[in-house]
Amino acid sequence: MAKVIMTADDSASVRQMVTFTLKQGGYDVVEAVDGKDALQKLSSTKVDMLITDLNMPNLDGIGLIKGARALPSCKFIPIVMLTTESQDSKKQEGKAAGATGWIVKPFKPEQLMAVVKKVLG
Amino acid sequence: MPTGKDSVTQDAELKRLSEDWSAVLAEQAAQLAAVSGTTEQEFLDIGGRLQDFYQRGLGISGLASEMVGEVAGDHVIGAMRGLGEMLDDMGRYVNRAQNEIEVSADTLREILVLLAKVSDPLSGFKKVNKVLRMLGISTKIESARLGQSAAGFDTLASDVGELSVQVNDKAAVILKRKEELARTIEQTLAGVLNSGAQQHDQVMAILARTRGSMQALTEINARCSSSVATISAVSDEVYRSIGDVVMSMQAHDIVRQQIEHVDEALTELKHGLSAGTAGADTAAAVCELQIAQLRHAEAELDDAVTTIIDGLREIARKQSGLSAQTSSMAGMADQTGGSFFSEMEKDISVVSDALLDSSKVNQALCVAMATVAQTVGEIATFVGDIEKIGEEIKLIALNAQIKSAYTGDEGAALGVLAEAIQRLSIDAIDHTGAVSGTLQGIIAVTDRLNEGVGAEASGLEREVHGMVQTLSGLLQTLRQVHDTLLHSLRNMDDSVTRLSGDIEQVVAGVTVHRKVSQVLETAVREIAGVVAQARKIAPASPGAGNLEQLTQRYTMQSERRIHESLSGAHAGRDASARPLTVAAAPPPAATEDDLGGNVELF
Repeated sequence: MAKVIMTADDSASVRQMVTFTLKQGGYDVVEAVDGKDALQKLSSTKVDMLITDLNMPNLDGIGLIKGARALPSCKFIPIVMLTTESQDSKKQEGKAAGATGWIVKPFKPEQLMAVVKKVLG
Repeated sequence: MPTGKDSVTQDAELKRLSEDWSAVLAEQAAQLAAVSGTTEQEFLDIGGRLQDFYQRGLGISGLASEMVGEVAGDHVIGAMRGLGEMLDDMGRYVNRAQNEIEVSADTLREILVLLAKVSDPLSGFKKVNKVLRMLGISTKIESARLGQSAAGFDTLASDVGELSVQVNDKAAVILKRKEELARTIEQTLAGVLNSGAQQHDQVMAILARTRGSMQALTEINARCSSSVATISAVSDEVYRSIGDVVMSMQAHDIVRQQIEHVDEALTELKHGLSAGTAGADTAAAVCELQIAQLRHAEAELDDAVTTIIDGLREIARKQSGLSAQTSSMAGMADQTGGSFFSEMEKDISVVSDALLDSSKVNQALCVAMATVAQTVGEIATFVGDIEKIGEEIKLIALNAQIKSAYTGDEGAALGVLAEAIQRLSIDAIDHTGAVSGTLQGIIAVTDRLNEGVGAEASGLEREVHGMVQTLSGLLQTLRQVHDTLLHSLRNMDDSVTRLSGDIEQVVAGVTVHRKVSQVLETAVREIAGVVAQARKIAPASPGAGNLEQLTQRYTMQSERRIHESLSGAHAGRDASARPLTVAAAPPPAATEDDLGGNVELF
């Protein structure tokens, strides 16, 4: 059974490219349009990994990570930030919230796949 | 320093300009907000097609793999092995057939020589017949002279005469048959030699060509066996092109954010101008910075779209190249039917025909030999008849001699005649012996040849049929391979043509960068107008215009670099000389675990 990965991003085109890349790698993908939407879906859908943007309306990536980590089903899943932001202070903030890794946009498909394989084992 | 009146005039002028600038900034902020919110659908459409192109590219690579797999597969390898064995069999067959022809020709020539030897004894029968007739007449005359005492000699003479006619007739028939047989043999000899030579040359030429074809097939097979790596390499290249496109597709999000930040900065400046909290210096500095951000955004988007277009075209080009390369690797020259396999199929058809022809030649040889045997048998029968006649004449002559002895002195002449007849009968028997001896020689040779040819012909025929059957199987295999390849090639060509057409259609419809560029150029021009007016009032000076608060909304390193670049220029250089764009960011360095410089795992 294919592992399920959630992509949370307010940019539809980024979600499309993340989904395209992950599906090529044989993963099932759940899309969320922002942090709030993602958290809502996480409470009812079991996912194996979360890839989230930082700056999103309603609830940003840091808020989403904190919310997700509070859910028992997401306590130990890998959460990777996929954002245009590259400031160290933001990265530290993400790490403190519970992020597993940080990818600065734009990503190459093989990069994303390598990260996913690495964190999912 | 302006006087009090001048200061009032300047304030009024600034207020008027601020109102104008506010209107310009409001208009451009609205335009930028609109353009950043409406371009995503075009990217989504391209992204949707990209997934379709990727899947179709996979399908084309799959077809290419199938094609080379078919050529390098068990069918073709089996056919190649069969063809190799067939070439060996054909080599043996050709040698045997050639040997058989030479033996047959020698035997037929030997029969001709033997037949020529029959001519002398046959001419002897003529002489016997002539003398017998004369002796018969003499016997009749002598019998008539003696009258009653020689009664019975007349009948004897008539019998001898009739028998001599029979000898003559049968000898004539033997001569005729002998000549017919000689002609048949000469014709067969010419036919066998001619056909044999033609067949030999033809088969040898085809053998050479088929060996060449087999060598070519071996090379194609080897090429196809190693082409999996080639197809895989092309697939990797296509995947890299897809990767470039995927990367560039994210530019929309990046550029959108940058334009939104400019929009926010312009709106904020407008509010500041309206509220009087922002002066000419701040307006100029903020606008100069936004121009640089917009130019960077425009260049980023243009680069990204160019990469998308190039990447998509590269996918089509790679797939077309793969299609052509696969066709060539599989030995398919084109899709009009001209291919290595169809040429080979033609050659093998010719081989089959040649083998069947050779079988016919062998059959013709058998028929000729049967004719020789039959004719020689008939001649032998006639010779036997003559021999019997000779024996009969001999008995008649013996009776005549006895009778002439009873007749006394008067029958002495008849006794001489009877003796002569007896001698002639012995001559006739001797002649038949000579003819029989020769005929026995011919029969022995013919039987030997018949036996040999019969056994050989039967063996060769079985071999020929076996070879033709195997060749038919090979033909069918090659035809199937050819048909499958042709079908796959057509599918692949169709797929590539449709893919290339669809990609070109998508590429031709990509206008998002031009639309965005148009809006950004207008914004840059309008904002540059504000800068020009503001700088007349507040020339650039180090430290002027507080831009620090703008950094709070940046989400990208590129925005910060542009900001820092212009802030530095504000601080240390003449603003009129500074550029309104900055160089692109250097690519991130790869990390130890090779995930890339933009990846960090905690």
